[in-house]
Amino acid sequence: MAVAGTDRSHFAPVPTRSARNERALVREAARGSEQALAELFRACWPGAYRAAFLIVHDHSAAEDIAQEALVAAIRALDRFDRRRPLRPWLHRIVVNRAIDWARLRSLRREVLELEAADDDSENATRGWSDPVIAALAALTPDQRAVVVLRHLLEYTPGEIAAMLELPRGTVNSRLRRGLDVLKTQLEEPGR
Amino acid sequence: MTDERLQRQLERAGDDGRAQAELRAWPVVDEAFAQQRAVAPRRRVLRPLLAVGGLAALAVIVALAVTRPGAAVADWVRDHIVGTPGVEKAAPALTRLPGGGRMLVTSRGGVWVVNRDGSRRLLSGYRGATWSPRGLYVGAWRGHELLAVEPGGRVHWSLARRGAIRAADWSPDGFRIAYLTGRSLRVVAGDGTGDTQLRVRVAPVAPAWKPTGPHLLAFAPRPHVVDLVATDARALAWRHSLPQATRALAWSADGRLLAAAGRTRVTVLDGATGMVRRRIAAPAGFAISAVAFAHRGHQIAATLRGRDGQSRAITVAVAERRARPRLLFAGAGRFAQVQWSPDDHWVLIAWPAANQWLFLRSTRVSAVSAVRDIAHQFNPGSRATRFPAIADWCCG
Repeated sequence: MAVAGTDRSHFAPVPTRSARNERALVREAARGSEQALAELFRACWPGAYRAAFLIVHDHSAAEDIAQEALVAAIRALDRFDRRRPLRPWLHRIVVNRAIDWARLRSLRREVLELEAADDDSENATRGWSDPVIAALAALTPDQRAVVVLRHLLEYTPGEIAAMLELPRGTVNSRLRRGLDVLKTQLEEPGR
Repeated sequence: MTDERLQRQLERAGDDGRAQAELRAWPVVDEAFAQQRAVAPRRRVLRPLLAVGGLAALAVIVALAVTRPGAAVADWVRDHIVGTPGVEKAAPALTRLPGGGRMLVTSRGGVWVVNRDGSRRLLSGYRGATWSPRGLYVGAWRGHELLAVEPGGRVHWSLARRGAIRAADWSPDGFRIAYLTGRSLRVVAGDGTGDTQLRVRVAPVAPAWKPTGPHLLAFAPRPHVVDLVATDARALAWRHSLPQATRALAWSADGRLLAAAGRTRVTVLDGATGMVRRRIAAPAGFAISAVAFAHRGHQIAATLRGRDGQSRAITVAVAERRARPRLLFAGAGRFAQVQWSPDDHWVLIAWPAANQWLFLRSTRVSAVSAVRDIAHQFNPGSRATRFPAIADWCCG
């Protein structure tokens, strides 16, 4: 939707993805290949954005978090250990930032009731038509993060524990409690 | 509920915002990549495929331009998607400033002092500027140097610092100038003496002096935090954390309200306590480009940029809880800046896509006064057409 042609941030097209190996793409991007960067972006964005959104429940915040995480990753490409996969590293940044954001919002809502009452745009104060998002809202940010990492991004509990720097038992208990709440919410939507 | 079903539901959740967010995020990431490469130049690999692709795209553009069906397509795109930015009946030159006062405008050649009758003088070589409270001096900067200059060009004092100067604000009583240099925030007396560092590291947001009170400065020590500090005593008056990174700070003229503009909302803080007085969210699909408080009262003007490429200029009376935003103007392309005239009767918006400035009547009687060809007017004799920036407008 080019209008002015002066603002790259709105109108540059997103290149298509190829099936090239992620490590090769990281290597090529680190050497300066824009095509490799575009393919990495295309591969990583959906998971990063969706994970952030499912934790914070705010499209604008999810966009900021995913965008900042990708920019941080790009800036650290030169230092990145290319023998390791990129996505777990990126998801770790995304999820930790999303947890921080969600906690901050909860805290602020407790401390400054005025803000929450006055902010009619806040997604958290309105109902969600998607049942799974509505159900996730009943979980704490930490529980949401674990559920998203396990059931959306398909990490093992061991990998999640390493990502979030938590004991594996804590991950398992958050997962179990989170799924119990989700199950209750999704099976009894009238609650 | 099975794991597979939960996974399917999670994979579908949030889809309504993802694609648009992706379109917006890609250029940001691409830009960060380009900056990273500029900072740490590496051995460049040849990109023959990209070069071939670029030539092919160029060939398509040329074909579109020279063939009749191509021209028809281009017309359709311009009319239905691109739109034609700009007000049709625009004045060819800036011959007066509606609302009076004097303006500072930065362009590639330096800072222009624009007078009420449209006459202007170039202070050559400066990158940015701010007026002293009564418009007797210009606080100007270039590279690592901050200077106090008369509007006629005579330099009164200058000081140089290690980091490049990026923004400055002259205190309302004229006795202090706060400025960003490199990543730090410093304060100097209005006569160029007593320069001190206030903070080693701050976010790149222009600091703003509270219009009332003894040298109280609002600034963003971090993107999500706003501080109000008594600079002489070096004491923190209050601190407020925000959910969105701050892009701009603006005080109401009486110092009772401070607007902190984020990407999609403006948080209006109580100037005395830092508590939230009101939050104004941009409509769905719009982001905030710029905000400015009027010189009297509690009205702000803002420009909003939409995902579809449309922009709006609005005003809001922030002290009235039920007040709804008033639309002043809407058009295609980005509205880059917004400024109130010294008499508050006009709101100026910069419209780079149309190469125009629009003076919009802020009172109930709507009126638009447009001036075209702004880039060339502030870059005379130059092929460079970078759109100039409005630095300050004061002193009615």
